[in-house]
Amino acid sequence: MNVTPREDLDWLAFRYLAAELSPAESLHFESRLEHDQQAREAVGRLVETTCAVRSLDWDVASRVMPVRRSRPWYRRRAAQVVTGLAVGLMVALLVWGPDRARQQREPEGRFAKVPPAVELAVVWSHVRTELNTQRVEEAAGWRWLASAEGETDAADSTDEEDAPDAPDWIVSAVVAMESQEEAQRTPAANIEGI
Amino acid sequence: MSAAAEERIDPATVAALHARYGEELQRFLVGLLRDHQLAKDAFQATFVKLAERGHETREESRKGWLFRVAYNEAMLARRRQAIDGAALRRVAWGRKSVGPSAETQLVRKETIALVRQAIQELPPEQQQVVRMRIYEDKTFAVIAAELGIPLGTALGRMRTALIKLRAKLEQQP
Repeated sequence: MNVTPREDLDWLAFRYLAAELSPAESLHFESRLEHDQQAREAVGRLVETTCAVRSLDWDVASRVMPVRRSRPWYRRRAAQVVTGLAVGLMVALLVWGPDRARQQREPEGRFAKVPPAVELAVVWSHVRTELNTQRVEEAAGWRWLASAEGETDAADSTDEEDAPDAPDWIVSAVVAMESQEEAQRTPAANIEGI
Repeated sequence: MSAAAEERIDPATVAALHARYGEELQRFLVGLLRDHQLAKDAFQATFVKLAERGHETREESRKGWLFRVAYNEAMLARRRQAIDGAALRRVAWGRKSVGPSAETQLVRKETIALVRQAIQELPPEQQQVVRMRIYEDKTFAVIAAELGIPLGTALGRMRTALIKLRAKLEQQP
């Protein structure tokens, strides 16, 4: 009984066809072909394979099939891990990077310096004046009612009471502007004093 | 009609056997003889024998019988031509005797397409050895020397590639 596995037999048939067997091996295989149907079929199979390979246009095939260096799985996995870490590090730097950390260490007052303080103060003063003027004009039509109820006249109230609450950033801007103005005034006073 | 003629195998059976095993037998003969013309002669002689003596064979063993007769016819053709087997093989394996057109005739288009696909799926180092051995007709010793690899490595790559190619071809009906 022939116990040669089919792959071994195919390989033997291929080497026979390719004249890679020694003369003794070749004769032995030929004598085997005389009675071994599996060996004959192996020869037929390998002729089919080699003829198909040779009938390919390898010059075209080589252009179609660029030689790719396939990396082993562990190298591909390592490359993926390194890439992932790099991306993660970049994201971390963007989120918690030195700029952000510095910004968090900065006192809030310094953020108030970012908008131009003097301009903000001017804008706010202008808006505030307009609002107050409008209120006075509106209140003029209803003053009789207020008097009749004996309530405090709106005109008697101070501007400070009627003014809307200013946001913090405006207060900071105004404070900054005032301190700047004061600083400018102080040397002049000194000069006058001289 | 004579008694001998009456005993002969039915022509329809011969035709059916030709259709069923013809391609395989042709490939076998080309593999043995490495010459398409010789293989064709041996193939014809095989079926003449089948027509003459096929009735003596049992139906279940006819495939084996055909291959055995084909083998004998191939050996007979060799002796008749008085051609040294090794010299013949060298010529036949080269491109002079078995040209691409003859090879294309010997294998079906589907087979070629499958082989192309299988080769594309091979790792580059195996593709290279297949090309050098089968297409460029270099010996394994030359391939090993040119690639700077041990002979065993070249053989191993070729063997692995062949197994994959055969596995792919087995997929076809």
